[in-house]
Amino acid sequence: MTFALSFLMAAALAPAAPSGAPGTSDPATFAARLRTESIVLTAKEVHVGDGTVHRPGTVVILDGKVVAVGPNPGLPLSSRVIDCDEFFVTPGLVDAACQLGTHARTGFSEQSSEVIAHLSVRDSVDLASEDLEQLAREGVTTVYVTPEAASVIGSQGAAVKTGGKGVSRFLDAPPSIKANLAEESWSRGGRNQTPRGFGNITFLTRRPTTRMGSNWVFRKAFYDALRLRETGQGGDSPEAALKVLTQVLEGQVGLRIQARRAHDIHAAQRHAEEFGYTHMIEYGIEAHLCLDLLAAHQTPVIYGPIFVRPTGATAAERGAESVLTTPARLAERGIPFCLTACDGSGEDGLARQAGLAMRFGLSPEQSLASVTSAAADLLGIGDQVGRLQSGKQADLVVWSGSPLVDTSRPLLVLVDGHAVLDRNGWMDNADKTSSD
Amino acid sequence: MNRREIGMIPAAWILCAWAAGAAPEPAPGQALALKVDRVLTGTGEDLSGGWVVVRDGRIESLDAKTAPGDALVLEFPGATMCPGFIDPVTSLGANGDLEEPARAFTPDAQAADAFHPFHEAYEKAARGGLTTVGLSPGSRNLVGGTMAVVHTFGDADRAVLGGAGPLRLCMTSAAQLDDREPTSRMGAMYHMRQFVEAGVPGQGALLVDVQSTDEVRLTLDLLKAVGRPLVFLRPADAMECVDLLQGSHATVVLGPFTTSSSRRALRTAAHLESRGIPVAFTGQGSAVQLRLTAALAVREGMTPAGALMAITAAPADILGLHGQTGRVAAGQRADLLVVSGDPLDLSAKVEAVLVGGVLVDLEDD
Repeated sequence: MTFALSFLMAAALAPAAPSGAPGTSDPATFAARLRTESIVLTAKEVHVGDGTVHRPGTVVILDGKVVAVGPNPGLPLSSRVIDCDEFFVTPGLVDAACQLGTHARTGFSEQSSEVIAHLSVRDSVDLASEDLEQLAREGVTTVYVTPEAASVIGSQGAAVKTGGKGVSRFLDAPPSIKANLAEESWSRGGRNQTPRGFGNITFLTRRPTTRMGSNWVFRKAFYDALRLRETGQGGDSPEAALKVLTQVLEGQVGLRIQARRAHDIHAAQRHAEEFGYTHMIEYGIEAHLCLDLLAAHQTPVIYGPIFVRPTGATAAERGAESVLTTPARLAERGIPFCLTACDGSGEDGLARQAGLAMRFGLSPEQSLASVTSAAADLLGIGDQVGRLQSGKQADLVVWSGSPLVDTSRPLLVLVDGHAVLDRNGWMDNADKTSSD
Repeated sequence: MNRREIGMIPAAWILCAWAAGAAPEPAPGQALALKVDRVLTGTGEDLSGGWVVVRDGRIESLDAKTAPGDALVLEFPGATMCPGFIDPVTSLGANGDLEEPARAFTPDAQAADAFHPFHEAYEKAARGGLTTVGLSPGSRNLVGGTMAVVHTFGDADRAVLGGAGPLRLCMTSAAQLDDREPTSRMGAMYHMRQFVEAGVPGQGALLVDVQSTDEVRLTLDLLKAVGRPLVFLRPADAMECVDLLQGSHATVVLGPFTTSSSRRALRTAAHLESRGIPVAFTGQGSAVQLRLTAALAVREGMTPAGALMAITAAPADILGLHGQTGRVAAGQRADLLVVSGDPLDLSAKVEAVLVGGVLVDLEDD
């Protein structure tokens, strides 16, 4: 008991003490609140998300934040205790390029221009979406909702909690826009034909119909941004969008380029050299053909989704086993990466993506990191989510077995310390076992 | 003859003329005295009848024991009086002139310019007891323009408030067209923010079309700080976002309800009422639709007083007419309805309608 108290006192007084935990200036009050209000979760394994694993482990949560994580020394008096001694805990999973959670699956992008960097997916997010609920139940607690590929230079994305009762479910993430140099930007509107009934000329017939065209639109937008910065005169694109592109050039706004094919990855790099921006690759399915390029420039890759039996329009590029071993090879070459399930179609989502990566050669620790800490770091929210550490938000998953394995499923999912899934009623029972 | 007999003779004459279908008119300055069994004031009070005295277009008193000596007298034994109905959002008689989607923002457009005062729809509305309507630009623009507030009966210049009513906005996908910017909600929100930042014109309420919970949330984020009364038009997901609505102090417009409406939709009115959220109904310009909407809401749990308020005092407040009309109260405009039974009972007959103290001819030819 003394050891437990000292463990918690140490947590209270540690320099990395949570900025959000009230009462840290008064260790006595803090300890008192820990006794009465905290949640203590003990498990067979607690994975921090960066490779560290406590076997067994304990997580202490207060006010929606993690207060302490460590080996299991004993329990403070009278906290709400959740006994998961048979089970496995990981941070809530983070999907860095999710295409779910908006009020419409497709067609939520603004069509009046190919360059819409001034707009934001945040306005299209549907917090009540069933997709977000489903993601939460699968253990994915944070997603970055990325814009549709329908625009050449798309809007800003939004980092969102998939559930919970946070004051705002939107996270404060560094802003980032998305660009697409390939087919999707010209296949809206029936291959650039005016939709029926509208006559011959609308703003829809201005679209590019080829890769060369999309790349031209992309480069022109950046040229126009430079011209705006230097002369005050813009170009075809909305001026507000060009201003955002200026911020991309200055490194204040991130840029992710959806590039599944190898030649798109190369094109992205060429443009990066032309304009001097830094970028990330989204989806990057043919990254295995560009490993040298990516390694040389340390271009982060948000990789996936991968399927053992791919179907659909992009099946051909996803068929080879080389695609399945790519996460292992990215890790081997030291290329920063994380995994994504995109819109989850076809298979079971992000946990399975990490499981597949593991099956095809990525180490278990790195597989988990690729859907937790690495994803959070790439999104610039690694100080808030993605690891079970003192001061981070209390987003975690209790798995019925070894995490990321097909035979395991989430039993408890917490977002900001609130249960969004609780198959065994642990949170209710924890309240009952607490005494004064 | 004594004074009482003098009073009786004109009354007998009036009732005969009434039976013959002519609407009697008091002389200027002359009072009109109506006797009914029950007065529903529109704000929940149920007064047992007496004499309601109307003079120069206004309600002079509710509690006279006898009719003033010089008054034109009308007696409606067994009848109930309530405020004339008010429909806050209609396109009554506009012949399509209220839809101008060429540009997404037309805040200076005025619905009053689409007011056709002699359209037969107004006569029909007045005969049914609908005495005032809000005439609104349509929902295909992000900001459609300024609404007009008009009485359904009277002279051609009977638009109230100089034609400047509340501002109509639309946050649903109806205002996001395929061939005009914006085509998407993200584009709409961007432009709406610019609009709000530049300063929202006018002083009236802001009437916003919304459908889903996130549209309610986005509207609140956008408009709460503007500080004008907020009215949500027909939020389909109202039941799911009651907390948001309650915190917003906004009024919610529901309806019209019909016999095909789902029970869940009908219960929304009662649910919002129980949470203290002001509710108004719209009948798309039809008096019968309004009565049916109110009746169905009562069937699924709304209080009768609340349902009557939703078609009288609440829409009056939305249209900026608080204190002028929408309630049977001394000093207010004489926009009144006399019904042979309960106003929410569709089997009850409309016996008399006054708009601005003038009796409406109830015969339709």
